[in-house]
Amino acid sequence: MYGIVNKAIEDLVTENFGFPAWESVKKQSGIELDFFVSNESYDDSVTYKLAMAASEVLKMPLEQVLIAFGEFWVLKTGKEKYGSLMEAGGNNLREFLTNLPNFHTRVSLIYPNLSPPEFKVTDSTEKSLHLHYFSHRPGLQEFVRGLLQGLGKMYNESIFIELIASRDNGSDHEVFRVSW
Amino acid sequence: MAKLLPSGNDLKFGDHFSILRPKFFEPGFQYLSHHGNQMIVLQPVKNPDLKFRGQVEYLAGKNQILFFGAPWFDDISQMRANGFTFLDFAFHDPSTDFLQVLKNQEIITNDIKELLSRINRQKKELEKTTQQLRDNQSQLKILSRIAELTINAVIITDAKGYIEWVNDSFVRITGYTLEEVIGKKPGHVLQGEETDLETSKYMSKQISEGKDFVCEILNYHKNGEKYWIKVFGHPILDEDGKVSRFFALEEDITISKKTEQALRDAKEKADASAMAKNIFLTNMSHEIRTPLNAIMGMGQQLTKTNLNEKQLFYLDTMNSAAENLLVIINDILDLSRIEAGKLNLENIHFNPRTLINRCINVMSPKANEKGLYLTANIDDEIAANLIGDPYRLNQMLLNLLSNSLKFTEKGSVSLSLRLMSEKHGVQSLKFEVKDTGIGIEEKFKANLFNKFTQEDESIVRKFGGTGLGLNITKKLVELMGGSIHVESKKNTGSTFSLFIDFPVSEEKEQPVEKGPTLNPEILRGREVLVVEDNLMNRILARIVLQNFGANVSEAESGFKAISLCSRFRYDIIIMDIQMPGMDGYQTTQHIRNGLCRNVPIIALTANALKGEKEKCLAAGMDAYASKPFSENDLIVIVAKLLGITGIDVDHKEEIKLYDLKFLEEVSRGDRTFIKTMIEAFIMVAEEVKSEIPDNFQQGNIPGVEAAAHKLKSNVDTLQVHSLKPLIRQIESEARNGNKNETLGSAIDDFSLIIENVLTQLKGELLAA
Ligand code: HEM
Repeated sequence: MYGIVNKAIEDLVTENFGFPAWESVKKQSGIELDFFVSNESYDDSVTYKLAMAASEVLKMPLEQVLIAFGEFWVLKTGKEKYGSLMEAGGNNLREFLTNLPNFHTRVSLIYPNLSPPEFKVTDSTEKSLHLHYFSHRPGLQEFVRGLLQGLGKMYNESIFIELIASRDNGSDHEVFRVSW
Repeated sequence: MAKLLPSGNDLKFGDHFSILRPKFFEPGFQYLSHHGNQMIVLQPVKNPDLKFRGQVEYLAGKNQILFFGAPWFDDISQMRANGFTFLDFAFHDPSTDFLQVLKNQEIITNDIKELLSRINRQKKELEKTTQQLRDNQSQLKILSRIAELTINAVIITDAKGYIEWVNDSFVRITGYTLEEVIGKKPGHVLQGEETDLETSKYMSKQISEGKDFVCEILNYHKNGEKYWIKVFGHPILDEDGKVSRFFALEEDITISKKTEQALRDAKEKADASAMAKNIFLTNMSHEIRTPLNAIMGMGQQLTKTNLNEKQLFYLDTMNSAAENLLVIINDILDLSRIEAGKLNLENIHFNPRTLINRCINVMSPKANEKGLYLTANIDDEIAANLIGDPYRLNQMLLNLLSNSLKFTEKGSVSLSLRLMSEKHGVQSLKFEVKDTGIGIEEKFKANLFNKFTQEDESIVRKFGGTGLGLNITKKLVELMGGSIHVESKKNTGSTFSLFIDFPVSEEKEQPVEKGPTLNPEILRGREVLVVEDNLMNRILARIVLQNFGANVSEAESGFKAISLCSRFRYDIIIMDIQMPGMDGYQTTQHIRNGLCRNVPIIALTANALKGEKEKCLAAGMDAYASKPFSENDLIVIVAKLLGITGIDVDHKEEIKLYDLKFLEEVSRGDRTFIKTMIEAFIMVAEEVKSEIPDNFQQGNIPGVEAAAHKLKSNVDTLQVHSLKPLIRQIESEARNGNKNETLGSAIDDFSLIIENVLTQLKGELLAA
């Protein structure tokens, strides 16, 4: 995964638990990298190891870590590192989610050696929609949930998320029913 | 586009747009219609933040030009500021992707910046650690070099005390090589049968507990020779604070140990001889002063009777001879006091003008006799009052003046007092005594201030004197921190100068000192008992006291005194100290234990040496007069004790029975240390106080010796003068197994004095 993702985990831990906590997360993860270059592609295992180590060191369930990370990604990384990039995704939550499939397609074109996920929107109404999430990466559904929660906060909407299908239940992708 | 552009017909292009590029020439309609291949950048007049990028197409039929273009943003926030989202752009339009790429570039630039600052930080840290490492290394080098070079033995052992390394000095001092001692314990190699076991155990204990230690211990050289070392042991800790090694520095103190012993022996000898000298002087002064006292007193009384001229002349000569003798004795005593370091200077207010005038008054009869001018001169700037010892100053000036008068046959003697400088309230003064006398030969000047120096024996015969005067003056002025100088030319005269500093007294007016003029009725009706074995002295005392109206009874021995006291009531007792049989101390004790507990007792003694006064007071006497006494002195003391007013009464000064100077010196004035020493003394003294008499009563003489011995060194450290000889006497008498009267009376004295010493010391603690 892209270096900026790992960097975001580093920022999340450092900002909320201090530098020593990050040092022990890194130690625990067994990763010997001192610096993540934002636009370099790192093996996915790096990100997974970091997330699991954070869960152990901070004594939080992995799902919790992923949710926090999702929110952080939208509200902190998106805002501070990417400037207005996140908000440029739409004028409101509905517009943003509708545009999400194009968003990652763009990303995949700009950086051909990345493999961002794919999204699809169906059952769209004024106040709800089904967001389909396709990825070859396993176990990141709670990350998506965190991201969606972050978006709700960004657009000042109280948002309700329901996982209605999942790879764990035999489906070939995850489907979230998002309403607000 | 509707969000960005004005719409309508017949609007003037120039009102709404300016052309940003090309900008160096005006691309008019004509130009544009022929340059469809030129990129054009437009800027809306109302929104100078915004740019449009595109090209024009000429529509020939309508004679119009069309602009095809899209807004151009430099970053996403600018896009957002203009109300756009990605949804506003056609998918084929790459400008939003371009914005993302730009953003990414920014992020990466930040990455690089962060990396650079981290590198910088690490570089600095690296430099610091490298420097530290270098410092440590050079320090280590220096230290190990010192360890190699020091003349002291250095031993490094492991945590358990087994030798790992020793330096060359160790090899030199002990005779063992590194190979011989490695892996062994230093104690096993170096200690021997005379080594103190306790010290050895103490070192092992400190090592096993990982603690510092310093101690002195006897070691053995490989060849069996004994030597003393002082060991400084120090644990070396590893990073976790655990003892990893021991470091020991061993200083060879054999020589200083020997010198210490030699010094101690020498001091004991010196002390003993000083003591012998003092005793001799005391006795001598007693033997001479007692009859002298009688001669002078009788002489004084005799002058009051009717005499013819011849008789008067004889008497006068006799009196002055006696006075001279007294001066000589006083000189000798002074000198011995100064040399024994027993002369304490006063530190009181005095008026220098009064002092000078008095000296002149005292000396002018002699000057008149010889027909010499005697003058005095004092600088106006000299303070009205100074602080110092006026009595000793007086003594020095009188000595110089009488010398000058003695050696001057015609001309003058002058005394002048000059202010040399003044700083921080201290005046540096020069006292100058100048004469026009016979002067001093150059070769005698060097020895002038030595004892018993007079130019030639004929001078001694002609002018008299002990030859001690200048020596005493020199010692006194030096005691005052000053100096004495002489300038002289044979047959022209001499000038003696004293240079002394005195602090200026704040007190403006000194109460006028005057010898009390005594009312001859002052003792009217008072009952006085004079206890004195010497008949002449007894009569003298009686006459003096009777002259002032007292009723005098006499006792020629202690026993007589006690029996008189049991039968009659006395207002005051004057008690000679040195009497055969029962002496003054014992008599006083008996009187105090009997009915006359409170009667004031004045000690009368010829023992003018220091310590006598304290002993008298400690024995329960109230005051002290030194023989020969002057009429006035005796009466003043008696009157004071009887509470008679109308004469100056000084505060009864508490005489210290001990001297803390020694303790102050060794501790450099550390109050807590001194306090501890006093407490220690009190503790031991409280025990010994009862042990000595109890053991004596029970006939346990070795017990007496042991108890005395216990207190002896304490008595020395606190310089309890009054007990010093006494405790030694008790110890030695007891050691010889003498359960005799001398021991008994020494113990009685001891009990009495120790009580007083303890009271004073306890007072000292309370005051601290
Ligand atoms: C500023 C906005 C965003 C940018 C620049 C962005 C970009 C990226 C990038 C670069 C990756 C890594 C792909 C790789 O390394 O192979 C990624 C992963 C991901 N993105 Fe986004 N993203 C954004 C917003 C979102 C949002 C709002 C969602 C919401 C659902 C989302 C969902 C995900 C997920 C789930 C992944 C994990 C990869 C996977 O599941 O395969 N992203 N994104």
